[in-house]
Amino acid sequence: MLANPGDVKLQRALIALSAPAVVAALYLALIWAPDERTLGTVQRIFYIHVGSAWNAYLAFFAVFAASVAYLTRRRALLDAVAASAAEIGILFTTLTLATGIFWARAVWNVWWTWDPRLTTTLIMWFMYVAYLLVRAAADGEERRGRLSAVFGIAAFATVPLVHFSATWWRGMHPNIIEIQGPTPRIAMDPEMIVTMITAMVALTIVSGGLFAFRLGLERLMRQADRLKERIRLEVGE
Amino acid sequence: MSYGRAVAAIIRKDFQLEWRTGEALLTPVLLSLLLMLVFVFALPPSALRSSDMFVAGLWTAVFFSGTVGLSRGFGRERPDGRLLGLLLAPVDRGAVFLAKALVSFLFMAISASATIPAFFAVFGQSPGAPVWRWAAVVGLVLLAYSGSGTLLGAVAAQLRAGEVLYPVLLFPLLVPVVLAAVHLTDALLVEGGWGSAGVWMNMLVVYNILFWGVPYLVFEYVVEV
Repeated sequence: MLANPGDVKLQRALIALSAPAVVAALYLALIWAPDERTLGTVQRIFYIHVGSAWNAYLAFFAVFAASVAYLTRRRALLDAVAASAAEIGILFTTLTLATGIFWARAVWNVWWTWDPRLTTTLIMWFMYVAYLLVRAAADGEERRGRLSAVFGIAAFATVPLVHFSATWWRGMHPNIIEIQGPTPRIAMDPEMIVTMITAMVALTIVSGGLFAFRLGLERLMRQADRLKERIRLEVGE
Repeated sequence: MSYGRAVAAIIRKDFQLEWRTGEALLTPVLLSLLLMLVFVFALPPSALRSSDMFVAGLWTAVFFSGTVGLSRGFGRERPDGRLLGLLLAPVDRGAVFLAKALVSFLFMAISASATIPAFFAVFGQSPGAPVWRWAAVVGLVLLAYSGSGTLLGAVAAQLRAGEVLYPVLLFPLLVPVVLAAVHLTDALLVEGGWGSAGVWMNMLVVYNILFWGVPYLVFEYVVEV
């Protein structure tokens, strides 16, 4: 499995694209979008917050899908995809938690509260840190792939249950998008919706770029391991 | 060997080993009683009579001491390549999971029947609900715990320093069970039934289906040799 030169092009393209996308998203979020009526300017953190949360869920779904595919197809690439996506997911979960904490301090006047979404996000963070621990503690490429895939599936399957239990436990997180009736209702100004979607797209490009970069790195690491193994065999210690 | 006989044989083997060593049954009981002591020392005397503290202390002790017994489930198969021997037996891998999870459940149920009365006595609580309701709640909680605990125990047994990692891997997945356990026992104490906490009963049932069903299906991959 060689690091494929297409990867490098893709990485460069995504990183080149992410700079203007982020600048555009920041312009819309910080300057163009109107002030929120009651929350004021602090509400602008919301755009980064939602974009990060979306990317965290996307990455963890990728871990789940790649894990299922790895167990059935046993391709090393699928394991590398899961490993890279898990790290990206943890990064964006951390960003979601961090932006949420600042927002909560300004709006709820506390740094943290045990709301369902906060609780779910925190538990999710712990789950995927545990996923990385499984990867770090497993010897051998095959065993690491297999055990982490099993854990990745079990963790993702539990996220909805964690969310429901946290909802029945306590709830105060605002629900901006409500799905009632045939069309979802978004309780926001149209300009805010445009900004939110732009921020989501921009952060998705960033996360795609980071993911391509991380995946390339993972493949290089495995290639280096194989080369070391070959040298060891040829030199015969 | 038929499916049922394979499950029974593994259960019998583990009970026999346990009878001779006492490591997965005695240690959790002792640990949960010690955790009870820590809880008692950590609380002001006035808080000891409150049902909230009883619920918090009881489940903290049960969940933490449970990891000791559960990690032994597959830890026991680690030395001398015992796991390999077990897997070489010409039986369905699902039967191995089923037997191991049932053994863990039975061990935890036995430990709990020793520690829960001690908690009632120390915290001066009365059950408030018929014994069968308590048995149903505790039973479902321990079933949920042993299902996910056995799956992760099999994963941890194949990791470096797996016993140390085990609780860190397991507890994030156990959050729904902890919440259900706390709400249901609270309802039992206060209302004498799970009326208002019925939704948690459903949660436990769903969790059990998920964590006995999924491991049963993927177990073949967990213990591949």
